[in-house]
Amino acid sequence: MQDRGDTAKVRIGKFDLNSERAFLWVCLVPVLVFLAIVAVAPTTAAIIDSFRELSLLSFGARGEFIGFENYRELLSSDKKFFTAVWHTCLFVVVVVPIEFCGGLAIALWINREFRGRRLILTLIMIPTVIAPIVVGLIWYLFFLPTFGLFTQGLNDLGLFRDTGVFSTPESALAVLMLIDIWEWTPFVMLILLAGLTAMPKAPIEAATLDGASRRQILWYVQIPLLRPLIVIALLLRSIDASKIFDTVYVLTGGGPGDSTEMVTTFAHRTSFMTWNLGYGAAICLVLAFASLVMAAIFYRVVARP
Amino acid sequence: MRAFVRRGAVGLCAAAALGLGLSNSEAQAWSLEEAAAPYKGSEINIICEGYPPCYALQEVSAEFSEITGITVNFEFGDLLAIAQRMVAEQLTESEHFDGMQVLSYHLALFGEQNFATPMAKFLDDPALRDPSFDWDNFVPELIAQSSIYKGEAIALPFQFLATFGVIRKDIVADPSERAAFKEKYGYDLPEPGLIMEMPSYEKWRDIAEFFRRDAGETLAGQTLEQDFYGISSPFKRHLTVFWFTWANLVAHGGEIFDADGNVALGKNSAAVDTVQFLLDMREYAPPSYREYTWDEQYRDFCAGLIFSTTFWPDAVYYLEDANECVSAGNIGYFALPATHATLPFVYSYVVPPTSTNAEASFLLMQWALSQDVQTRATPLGWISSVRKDVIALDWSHEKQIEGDMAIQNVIGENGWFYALPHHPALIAAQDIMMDELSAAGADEIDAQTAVDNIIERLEKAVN
Repeated sequence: MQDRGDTAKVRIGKFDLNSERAFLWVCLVPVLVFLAIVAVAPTTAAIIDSFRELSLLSFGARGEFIGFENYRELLSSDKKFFTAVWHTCLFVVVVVPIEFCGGLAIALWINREFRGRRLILTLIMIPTVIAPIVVGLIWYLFFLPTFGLFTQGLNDLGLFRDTGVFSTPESALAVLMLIDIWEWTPFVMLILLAGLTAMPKAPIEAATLDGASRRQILWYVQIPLLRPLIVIALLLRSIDASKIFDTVYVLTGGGPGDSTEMVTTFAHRTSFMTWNLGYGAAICLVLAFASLVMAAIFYRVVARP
Repeated sequence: MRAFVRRGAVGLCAAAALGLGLSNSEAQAWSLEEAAAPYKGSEINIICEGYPPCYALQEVSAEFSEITGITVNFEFGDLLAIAQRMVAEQLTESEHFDGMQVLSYHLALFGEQNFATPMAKFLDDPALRDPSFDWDNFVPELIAQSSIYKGEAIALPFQFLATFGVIRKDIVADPSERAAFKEKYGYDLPEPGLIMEMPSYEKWRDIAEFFRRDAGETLAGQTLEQDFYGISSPFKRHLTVFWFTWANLVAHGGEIFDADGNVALGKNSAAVDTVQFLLDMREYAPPSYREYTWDEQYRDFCAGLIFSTTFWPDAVYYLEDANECVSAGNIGYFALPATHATLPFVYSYVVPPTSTNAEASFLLMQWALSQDVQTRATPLGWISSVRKDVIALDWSHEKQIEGDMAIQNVIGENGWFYALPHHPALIAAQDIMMDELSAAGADEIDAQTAVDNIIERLEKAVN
């Protein structure tokens, strides 16, 4: 029988193809190539475009490099952008904590054996697995003025008889938040439920033996153990909520006025309705940068051991 | 229509004379089947709005495929979504589409960015050009809008949507309503009929006010089970508010850009008057006006909840469907009041330069624009044909399009079609106006501020 070490020595220069390092590279390369194609290349193109006068209406200057002019205009004088930023921040700040609390409550409730658990879990997950654009259309039908199922119910309660729910800035934004909470709370629940299911039983049993109440077990045992998953859930939801687009696009178009305009809808209108592609790229990159900064701060603050 | 017919007759004579100039053998020799022979077995992909004219094109294209052996595939979508898709396809130089239905107020952008194949490429080729194809067969104002940019034909016409008013003529005809209206306002309601007259916006306002009724009140002798509205006034941030306002702006005597390419909204009071009129009408319109688009407008008019509104032929095609709507057979049509100038939303058929099957794509639309095909396609929903001889036909037997074709005759006969000056920035005007008008509809700003903001933003976009 030949020595395993002898047969394994296949080298390209100093690189041993049978080494663990080689195995890692073999696994990584397809992913890196894929990421380069779908993420790095478009981002690079967007960065380049954001420094160009790339409006389809500026025929003379099309493609001309204008330095930071798009960023300067966006951050210094575009009131509509800041309105969109404000709405987006408000949206994230309201929906993410509610989704977290709701998700945690449902996860704790469902984290036990009872008849029909799987069925309930499946039903709860339905909003999350529906495509966001379809979610928008479903709620559009629910809240159709006059004929909508929920509209009729609200009218019976004496609410929204004179205007539709998407007709006032406050109710339009509130309903968009409500829809997001309905759609994404199950996602948070799923992450936390995974954590609760995998959680070691010993610390909880020990706390129980020590006479800790359910609330104390939750606060001092389960939540600290769930911390890594809580960070992931909050981070994912914050980033995702700041990118809300589909439901706003379908339900309000950013209106009435600009009361539900989000950064993403603003970027979409700039890029694909007024065809100011350079400026639109600058908006998207500012949003991406803000998300990165937010994630970094969040991670430092929340994920601290 | 007489003026049209006269012009048409002159054009036809000229065409006939030119036709005689061509050798008889050439005219007889050309056939679609032979012209399409080199492309037999190929496929062309068309992107089109999901509405009656495109469905009609799809229906007749089966016959084209039978004659030529060319398969025609369609992709339908929402108007705004397909407009965005088409520009994006051209920016990325996608080769997927061979024919695109383009809104003519986007045509300047296509022309300026070289997103459209000049028609001379096909029309100058005797193998492709049907000798019977003649620009003089079409309404000149509509052709100028659908096809010509900077003196060059860069598209074929597809169809157009005239804007006009619709009114419930059955309710207008009710004697008790007529008497009550006269008593209150001191003048008569318009005479009921297929074609009606709306002399001024002030009178339209009175009519809208008069016919706004709550559930439980009576209307034409019937007790209403639901609220009834005198008019609709859509203010959702959606394409509807832009079209609606633009159409009424033109009727008020205003325009967005003038022929010299300048922003013209501030030249007279028409823009502010238009926006103010539409804002005032909210009082008599369904209260959900901030979420209102042409879809809700169609739904409510169809359900018999609205008395009058500005509308377009494709929606009317469905409103006149007796199986669907209580309004069917009860609609009177009128040219928008004041100047009666009518904004036709014309659609162009563009063959993109990236098309891999451009000749076959051209042959499809050239064939579809022939008198024979247009006459057959019109009742299928191809509303409205840009051909003079098709508009002039008697459509009284086709109830779903009778009123639409009749009002277009009136508009054409009176020379009320507005000739739109092409401007590439109209695509930006669309979004800017949607934004500002929606803000006005939400009471965030008044009419004057909305117009001032639009002017400021448009001038910035242009410069």
